[in-house]
Amino acid sequence: MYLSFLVNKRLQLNLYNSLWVGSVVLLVLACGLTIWFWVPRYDQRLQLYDADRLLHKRKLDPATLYMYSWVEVGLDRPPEKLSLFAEGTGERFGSCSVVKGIYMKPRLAQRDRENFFLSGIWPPDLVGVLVIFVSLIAVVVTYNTICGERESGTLSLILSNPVPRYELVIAEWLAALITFIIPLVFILFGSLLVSRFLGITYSVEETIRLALIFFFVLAFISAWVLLGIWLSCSTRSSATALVLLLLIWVFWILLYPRAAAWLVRLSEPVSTGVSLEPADVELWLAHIGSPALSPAGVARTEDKERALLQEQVLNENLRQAARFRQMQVFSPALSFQGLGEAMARTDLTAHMHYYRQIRALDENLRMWQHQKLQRYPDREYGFRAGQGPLDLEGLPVMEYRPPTLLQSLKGATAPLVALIFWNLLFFLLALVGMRNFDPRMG
Amino acid sequence: MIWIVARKVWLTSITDLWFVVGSVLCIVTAVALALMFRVQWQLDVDTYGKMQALSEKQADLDSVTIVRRPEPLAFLRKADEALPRYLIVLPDFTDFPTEDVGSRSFLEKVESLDWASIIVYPFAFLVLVLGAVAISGEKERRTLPLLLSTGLSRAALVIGSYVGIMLALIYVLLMAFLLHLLIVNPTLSSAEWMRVIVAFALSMLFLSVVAWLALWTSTLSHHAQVSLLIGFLAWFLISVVVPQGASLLSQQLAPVPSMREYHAQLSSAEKAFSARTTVSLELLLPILIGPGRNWSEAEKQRYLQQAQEKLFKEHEAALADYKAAVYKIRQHYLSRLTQQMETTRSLMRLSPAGCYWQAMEGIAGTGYWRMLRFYQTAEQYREAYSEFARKWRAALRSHARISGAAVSEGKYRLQGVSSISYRGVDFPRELLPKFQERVSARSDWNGLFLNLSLLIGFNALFFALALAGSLRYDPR
Repeated sequence: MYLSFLVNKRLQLNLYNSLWVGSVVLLVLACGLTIWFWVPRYDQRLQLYDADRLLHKRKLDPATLYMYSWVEVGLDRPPEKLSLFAEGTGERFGSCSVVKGIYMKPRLAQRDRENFFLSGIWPPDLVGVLVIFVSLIAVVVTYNTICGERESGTLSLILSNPVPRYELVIAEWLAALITFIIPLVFILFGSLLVSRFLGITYSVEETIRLALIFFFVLAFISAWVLLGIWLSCSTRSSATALVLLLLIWVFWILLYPRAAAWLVRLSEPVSTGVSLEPADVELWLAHIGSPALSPAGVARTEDKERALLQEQVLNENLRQAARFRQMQVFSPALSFQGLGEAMARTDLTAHMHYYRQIRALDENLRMWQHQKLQRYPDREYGFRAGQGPLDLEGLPVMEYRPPTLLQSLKGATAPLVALIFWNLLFFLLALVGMRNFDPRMG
Repeated sequence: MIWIVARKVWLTSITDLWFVVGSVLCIVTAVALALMFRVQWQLDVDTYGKMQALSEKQADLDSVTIVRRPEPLAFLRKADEALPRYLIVLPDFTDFPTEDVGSRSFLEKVESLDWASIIVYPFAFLVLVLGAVAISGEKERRTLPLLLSTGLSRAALVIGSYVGIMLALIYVLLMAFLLHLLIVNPTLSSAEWMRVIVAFALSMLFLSVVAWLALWTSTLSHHAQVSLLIGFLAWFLISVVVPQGASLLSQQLAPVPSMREYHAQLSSAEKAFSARTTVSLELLLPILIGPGRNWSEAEKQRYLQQAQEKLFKEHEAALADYKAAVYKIRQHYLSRLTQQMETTRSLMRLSPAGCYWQAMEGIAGTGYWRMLRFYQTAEQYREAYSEFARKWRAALRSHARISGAAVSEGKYRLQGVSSISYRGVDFPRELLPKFQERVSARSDWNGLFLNLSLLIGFNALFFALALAGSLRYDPR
């Protein structure tokens, strides 16, 4: 009986708070601006993807293939629709690959490149905007939940009723969550509508993933709300609680990711720049992932060495990204970001899933090449006039298969457990804080 | 009277537990950062050494790679995680590397942690807390009417509070800065030490803006927490929203060509080049089935030689035109990238944090400004390299690797030209011009003056707002 009353009371206090209204307006504007930026970017990537697929298909036209060393198969990963919400690794580790089997290691290429001058001020994605704004709004909403009630003299009135202390904590927590649901639902439906209007439709699985992203937003908000409630019942005044919360916000949201990134860079350095590129006109021709070949169609030795070096650097970067992912569990914000990326299929797990498909294609192509070269050894590097096109029967061609929802959730186990952990920890602390709270102290 | 208020605010601050806790946190952050920078610096110097050695080994008559030296003042402001560490100098063009996938770190997206970030985030927060409670705290405790009844003017109250806050801050800032320098222990010239002092002064100037901002929000409310919230939101707008928003907006206001457009231009140039460098069997027909079929062998060889020379001449001209076209496309693409960056930087100047960061980049010689200067220096070097390459290419022409399509029939062959490479050709390396970056070029004093003026302007603006806010207060 008291729970609903307390929830209702706090809900009304929150919703009629001008700071809350102002913050929500700012949040909605920020989200709108972010979507306005990312949708054209997604469109451009989709166009590039379509162009790549067409190019790779044309390269397999039997009428143009006369030597087995010319055969190359492409495996292209389409831009994720949900990358509007969480950019994640983006195109950074490659979304377009060319596989040549025994002639060269698979080569990955980026389809879309960011402006490298924008070092450190990349445009945020929707998840990034939500991390910053909702955590701040959670601070505004919860810093004076308990100590504010004491300062205004209403807490004694509440506790003079047989209200269990834990019920008070739960009521404040529920009220804060419900307060957030309204703008979140608005943002969710708004972004769905805008996407629909701009021609992006989501499948059932993608809609479920999107819903899960917003569920994880609530889990993230819940952690900050519980932190706010805990500090509110652990401090003497609401001003102190506010200062503490804001201090934690500055260190945890703004400084920790930077510090974590730096620590990871130091512990897993990448030998970038050591693989200096020879400036060669042919390289400018090889812009969509095709390796730089000499006109005879044979991969040069330096191309093979370069491909090996690139693979080494790529693996170092992947290790670095994996290490950063481990550091995510120490921050609810980074955990939520990791979850958002997992649901959007833009995280490291999704990329490794793509990478494994490339490897599988490479192995199949090698086996196929061995079979064909045993049968037609003279068609490897040359052909005679009058010889017809190559025998391409059994050529392995793959379509990219995205990770399933279960695979995404499996890859996101660590940040999910971390977020649950932070919620449980702060809930426990809030309960203990409330239990020890003396309403008489001022 | 100003001094009385200042002393009061100063004493209140330094005896406040939260100020002490906040100061300790700021100093610990500065120390941790300094330790990380020391390790990073060693890595940067090692990498630079390796790249320099590799660059010298790989230099040839086709291109030279020049490597950007790590900046000893990067601990002040890094801002170059995503920027290339080297440029490729060709005889006709200076290019940024076209990065292959995975060459750039995934963590480039994360902003760097440096002295400037510590100032904008934890130190600014500390100042915000001090400033927000300075006047609204007095209102809350109802001591402000008492203060004003002593004949204290509103201006004296505001200025006195400001002076008190800055006095409390300067000890902490100086301590953090000195510890930072002690741990980083950079080896600097006297000019560089001057820049360090200027950087410290700039940091004080930025924190002064935050102090005025906090005092202004303090005058807006009768409750310290509300003032703090408003102040924090304002600080959040200027240090987080405006820079990120600037980046988003600039992508719309100054878009770069899409990759599709860029590749389409390259393909178009490539097609035009291919069309001009085809080698057709028709060229051999005169000596195979045409009137030359009955010529003597010597005459046929003479014909072939003339046809080959003509082909070389035409194809080399086509290759030169193709390269010029590609350079033009590339130049246009790069200029659009820089235009977008300039737009971002201009928009960022709407925020004091943006002005401060850019000023620090200029002082530290890092970031976008440094990259541009490096590029300009590379262009100057290219003139010397170009002259050297042309001279030795002419001398070693016979050693060049010419590749292109060919046609042959029997013993008669004609070779086209799609590329001419001097890679692997021996030349006197000791005569190759050496690239040297001028140290004096590594400070952006012009940019500093602009950003300094803007920071002073922000100081004046928030001072005026704080004064106006204090005048609104009615003690009744």
